[in-house]
Amino acid sequence: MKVYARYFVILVVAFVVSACDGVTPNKCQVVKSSDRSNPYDLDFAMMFPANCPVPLGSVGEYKRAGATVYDRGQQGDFFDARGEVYTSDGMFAPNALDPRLPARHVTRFQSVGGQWQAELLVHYQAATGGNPWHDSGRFRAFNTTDRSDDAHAEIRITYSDADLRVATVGPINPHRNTLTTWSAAISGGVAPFEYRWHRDGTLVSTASSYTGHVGTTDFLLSA
Amino acid sequence: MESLAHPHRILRQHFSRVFYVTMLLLFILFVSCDRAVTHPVEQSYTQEFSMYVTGEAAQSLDEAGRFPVMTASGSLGSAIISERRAGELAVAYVRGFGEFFRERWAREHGRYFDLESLRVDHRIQFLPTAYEEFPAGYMPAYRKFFGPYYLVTLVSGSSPVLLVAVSAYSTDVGIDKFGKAAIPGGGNGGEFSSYGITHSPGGMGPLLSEWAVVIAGKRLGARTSRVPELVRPLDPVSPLDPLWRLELDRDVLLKTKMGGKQVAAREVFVSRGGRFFVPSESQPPYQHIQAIRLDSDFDESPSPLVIRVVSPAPVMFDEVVEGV
Repeated sequence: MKVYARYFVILVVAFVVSACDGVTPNKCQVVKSSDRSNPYDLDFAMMFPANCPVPLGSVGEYKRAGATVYDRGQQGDFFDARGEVYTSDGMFAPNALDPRLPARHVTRFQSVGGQWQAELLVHYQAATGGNPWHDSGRFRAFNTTDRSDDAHAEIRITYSDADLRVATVGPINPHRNTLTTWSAAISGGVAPFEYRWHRDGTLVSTASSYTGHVGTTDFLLSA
Repeated sequence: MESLAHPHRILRQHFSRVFYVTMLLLFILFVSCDRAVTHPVEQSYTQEFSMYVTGEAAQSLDEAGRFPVMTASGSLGSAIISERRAGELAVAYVRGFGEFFRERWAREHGRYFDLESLRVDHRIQFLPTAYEEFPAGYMPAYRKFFGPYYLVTLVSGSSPVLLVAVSAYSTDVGIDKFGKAAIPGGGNGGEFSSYGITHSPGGMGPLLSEWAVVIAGKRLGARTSRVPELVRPLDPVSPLDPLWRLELDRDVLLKTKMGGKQVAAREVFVSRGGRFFVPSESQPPYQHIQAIRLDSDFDESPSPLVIRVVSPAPVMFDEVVEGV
């Protein structure tokens, strides 16, 4: 048991979902944490992410995760802390410098000013909402046994709504024979966006706005 | 008379209220500003420092009356970054990861400081490793952990607020277009660690060899005769917690904190918190550690291995106190 307790793993797990529309950012929910009386108690000073829901990223965007973990128990019991980021875009989040590799980070518990702490840093490619079947992400810390009575902590991560909503902005009853502009107002979704404007079913523009001659007859405009 | 005096009393009371509120606001403003705080010994060492140096140490002082900084020297085995790059990476680290550590830094330092305004102190110290080059076949993080570091002090206004240890092997760490550190994955680590600089006596103060000299001079009554060197004790002591090695101009009598054994020392080692150490009687030629192999799964147990200690300086210490 002592041998097992000398080692633990931290997983930073981020899955992409689309379930938290309209939720005001708040502290991510702590699902479980180690008992303060546990002799191998770990204390997360700052977990990633601190607040939920977490916004999805754009294609090509990189994000960072960070955590300080304190060993408040018997000093020197833990050697390593490990961070790993999963996203729904793939099994692992490709790291910044080599997209073939998962974003992982190993750090060691060290004594600083009499405290035992480990500083985790992960730099990873942001998830963009590729696989929506995961309903939450996790940030976990546990030792090798991951038994319920061992040091562990977990928070639940929720993600901002990825559903796209588009509204056309412009006059409903424009003046006859005038040039009029309509634009698309977007909420949700993940940039970059493609635009398609149809007038009576015919594609008339692929820009974020459409300017057309009104003419004298009614028409249906959709974006 | 009563009716005439009344308006004056009201005016006086009103003035008094305004005065107190103004004073209160000024006080709040005063305590909440991130004003420059000078370390207590920083204030005094410049005045007293010259009293406590002699010989080669006195001759080595620069124009500002300070010791030269520690620079990379000896056989390092691998390519290392320059001190200038270490400073750039320290700033990029704060930009990239400061949001996660800001609260901790404030707690360690004693107050919040503006991350955007931090600048690099030009005295970047090189901290040599105590170990041989880390063996191949393990996750690259370990090579950095057990390798040399640069210690970069970041300053807010005129006050040192944060010490960042930057691995000298961080040749693979980039800076993105936003000025943020881009850390490679794949099992990396050990590039950075940090700790807020406290200005409380006995805390993790600024990394100042001159301060260590003054502390030793005042408390031990001896002068420093050689330029102080930075020494990193064996793992798991962080590179943020190194010791200043001071050679004194005479033997001083000390006693070990554990056991009270009497020691006569010509050389003492001083921590950032102002504690004294002497080398342990036995200095290990190697150290048993555990590390994750490259060919193992990421969540497997680390494998045991032995690494050689090659430091010419002591690496294990006993804390001592003055007086016998």
